Amino acid sequence: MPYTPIQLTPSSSPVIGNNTMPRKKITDELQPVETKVEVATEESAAKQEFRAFIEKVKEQHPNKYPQLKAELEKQLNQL
Amino acid sequence: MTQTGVNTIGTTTYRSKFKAATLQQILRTALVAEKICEVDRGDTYEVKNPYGSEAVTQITALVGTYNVDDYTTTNDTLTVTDMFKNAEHVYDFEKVLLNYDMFANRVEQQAFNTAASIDQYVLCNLLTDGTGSYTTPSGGFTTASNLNVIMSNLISKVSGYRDTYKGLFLVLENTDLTGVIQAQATNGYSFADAALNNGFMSSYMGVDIYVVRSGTFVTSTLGTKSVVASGRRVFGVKGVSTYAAPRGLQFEEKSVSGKTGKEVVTWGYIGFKLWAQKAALVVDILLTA
Repeated sequence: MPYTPIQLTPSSSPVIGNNTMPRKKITDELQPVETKVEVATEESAAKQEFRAFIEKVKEQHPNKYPQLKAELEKQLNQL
Repeated sequence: MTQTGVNTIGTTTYRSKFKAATLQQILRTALVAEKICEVDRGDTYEVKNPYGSEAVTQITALVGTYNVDDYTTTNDTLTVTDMFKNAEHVYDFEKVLLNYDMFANRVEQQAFNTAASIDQYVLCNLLTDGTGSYTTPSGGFTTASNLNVIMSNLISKVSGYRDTYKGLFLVLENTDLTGVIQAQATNGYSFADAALNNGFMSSYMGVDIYVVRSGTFVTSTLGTKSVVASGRRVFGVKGVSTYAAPRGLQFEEKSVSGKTGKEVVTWGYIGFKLWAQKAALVVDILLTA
């Protein structure tokens, strides 16, 4: 069956750069997208236990907990 | 061929001498809590100690009138929450065939162990509830040159309150003494002489020093209470906290079906409270390595 070739034409004229209008850099428009990859890992038993311990400290010593918070979290991360 | 004869001495024919009339006791730790806290041995589940808001004094020129303020009261309660217990069975043959009174020994031993556990519980709770805080210079109490700095800082934290005259305490673990003793021997002429002649002085700059064994201050759950005390020591004013031990330690012996001898059980109930208004008079000392 005969066919008619389609004439391919550019959709727009190429922009001709000039010295008075600096061209926009492509990087100005494209912002890096932060991707957060969450890997489903199971917390160790020791870590879970210590997390529960921290909750109990928070409940039983509400006035003192703010002082202890940083240290307890540091210990938790070391587990 | 085995030689037998009148001169042969078998091991069971040796005579032995027993040093004391009782079994040796385990090496025991000093009990400190009772010296620095108030103790209530009444038969109560709760001790209530409410407090009111602070009154504000108005100072004006002579006007003849005044404003009336509202005040609030808050409950502060000690609740007996924990039970300490020891239970063992002494079989009759152990009692009969031993040179010692095993029964009496076990009862005494259980009583001490229960008391020692209560002591640790009270000290760790006292430390965790204290809202005063201090971080030692590097080396903590083991560096002799730190001692004067630490003590002066600690004393200044609780000075100016009238409770301070009840006396001050500092509870250390035995491993801290290396710096403390050196400092005592080198600070002040008469004090150094006393320390050099008599060894470790239990008071320094007006603060009574109590020493417990290493491992007393722990970060752990003791009964129903979670305490954060590892790597820390406690300083403060005596008598601002209370622990309740209804009836002190109790003891029962009972015959058990299927067993000869007696079952021995020792127990005590405990509750602790650092009263809210005095919490700042107990200082949580964080040791810096």
